[in-house]
Amino acid sequence: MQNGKVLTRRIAQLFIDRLNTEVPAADTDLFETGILDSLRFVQLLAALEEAFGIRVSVEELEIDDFRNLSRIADFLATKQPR
Amino acid sequence: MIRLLQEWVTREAERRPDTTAVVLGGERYTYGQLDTYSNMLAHALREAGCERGDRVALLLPKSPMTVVSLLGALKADACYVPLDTLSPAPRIAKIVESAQPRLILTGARGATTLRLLLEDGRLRNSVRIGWLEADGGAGAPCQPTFTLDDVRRRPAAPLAYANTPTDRAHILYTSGSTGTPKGVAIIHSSVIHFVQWAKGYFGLTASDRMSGHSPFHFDLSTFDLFGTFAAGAQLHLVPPELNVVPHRLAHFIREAHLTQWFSVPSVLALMAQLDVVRPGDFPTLKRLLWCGEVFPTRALRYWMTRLPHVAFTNLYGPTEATIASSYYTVPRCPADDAEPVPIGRPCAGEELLVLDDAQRPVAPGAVGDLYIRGVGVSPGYWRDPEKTRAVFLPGPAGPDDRLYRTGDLARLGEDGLVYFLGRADSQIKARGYRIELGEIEAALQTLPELEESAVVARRAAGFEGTTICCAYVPRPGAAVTPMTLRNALGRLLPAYMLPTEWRAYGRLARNANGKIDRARIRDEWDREQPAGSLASEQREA
Repeated sequence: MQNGKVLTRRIAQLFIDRLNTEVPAADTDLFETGILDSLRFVQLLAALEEAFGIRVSVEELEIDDFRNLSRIADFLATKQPR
Repeated sequence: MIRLLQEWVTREAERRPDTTAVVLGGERYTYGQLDTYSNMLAHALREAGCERGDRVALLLPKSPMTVVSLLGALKADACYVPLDTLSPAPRIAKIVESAQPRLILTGARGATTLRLLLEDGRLRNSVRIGWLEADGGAGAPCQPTFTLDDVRRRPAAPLAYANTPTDRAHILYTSGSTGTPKGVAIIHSSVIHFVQWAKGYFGLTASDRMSGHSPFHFDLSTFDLFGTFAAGAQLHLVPPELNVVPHRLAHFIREAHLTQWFSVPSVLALMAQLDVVRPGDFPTLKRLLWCGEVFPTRALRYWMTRLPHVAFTNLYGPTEATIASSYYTVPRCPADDAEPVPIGRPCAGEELLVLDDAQRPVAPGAVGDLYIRGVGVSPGYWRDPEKTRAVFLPGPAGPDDRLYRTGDLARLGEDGLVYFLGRADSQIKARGYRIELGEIEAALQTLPELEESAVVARRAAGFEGTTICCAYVPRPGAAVTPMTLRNALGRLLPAYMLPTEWRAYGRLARNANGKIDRARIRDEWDREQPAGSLASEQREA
């Protein structure tokens, strides 16, 4: 289990490396700001799966788990590495 | 027979005031409420000086209150100009400068953008706002002309309309190749004509539950809205964030018991790619409609195989010709992925013409330019006679004959149906949005860190359609990465226009005339990095 802040920073770096996007803050709403749309969301999932060695099934996806970097970190913390 | 779009709502409010008209999440307005609230707002707008021919801009998120707002604008004899609250302020400023609205209706979700607009001296002195929040104007970035509290004190009595069926109902701004969005003016009678045809052809009734999937600045939304109201049906607005997670979108169709689902191919294709539709899913659904892009046959087959009880109809038509000009209901599931789906035959009152350079009909089977003639053709671009003259052309049949040149290439098949073959220019469709690559290039040209740049569209493999790619040459000494460029461009353009692939070059390929050779850049890019369905391949790996 990783410290929440470290995890959030890693996710922020993933946005930079994989989506060419700097997310302003951990609580920035990724949907309202248009940072995540359907295509980029799929790219993000792939990046998260690869970077964290997890598997996310489409059926378990909840929008609120991906609303901002903190929520994504919380979501990842609940996932056991493969 | 109605004359103006708002009359459908009033008619239903008289017949069945307590019937639900619009739903979004927990919010629900009846026809009676829609009619009454829009009357009150129209009174407030008229008191604020609104007259026939005026524009009222809507800087509001998709919500039942926004439906009240556009109806209120129409009842005040104005036309509404829907703005995308997600668009950056500089682009919204261009639209506001062009539309010159009498008033902007907005609320908390528009406050940040409005604050930025007001930093512009010219706009600060001219913009007036109607603040649709019940906070007495406390959250507004400037003194509002009226607030929601004021609107609630206005009379509910109906108004007399000065508008006629040929007055403008809305101006919809689309991407412009020179960097400035262009406003397509649409008149009441054009929308009424299409909706009446569609209501009959689709067999819409008061028991229908329609989807409101498109944002209100998209012209497809005008069919969602007025198609629903013409039938006295229910409009179920789709929360925009559901688009991001396709399985939630499928869940929405189930839970809302939709009977009509009007979407865009990019969304439908993503739902197919992630396989979120079960066999025999959506038992209440009668028809699935799409418009705005080519629906890949592979994705269409996925949908048709899973939903044998549903009719599938392709609508075609640019904003300039009002919602749609032609239709094709797919008679049976296509046998293979290569089978093209035609755009079909013209809707009532429209004509599709496939013409050569001298505007003579081409032989069946041959490629030509697609023109539209008929009741849906817009009077032209708002305050832009030059652009209007370029594509709205005089027809051969007399002084009132007008043809709209779509810029699409097409052929007339042996079966009498029209087939779409692509674009004659650099306009593209990506994720349902119509984008002029020139608008992206114009924005890139304002970035000081770039020497030069070119934007090309590459076809993505699989279901994903088009990828916007930027080739750029950094100015010597400038520290430039795709991320810094994306950040800078994101302050000028909405997210859906931002390139997803970037490549730095020492110089850009040029043709014999010394102009940037975009075709060569694209072809080389394709050769070196074949179009891959990035996301899906990674997911399947």
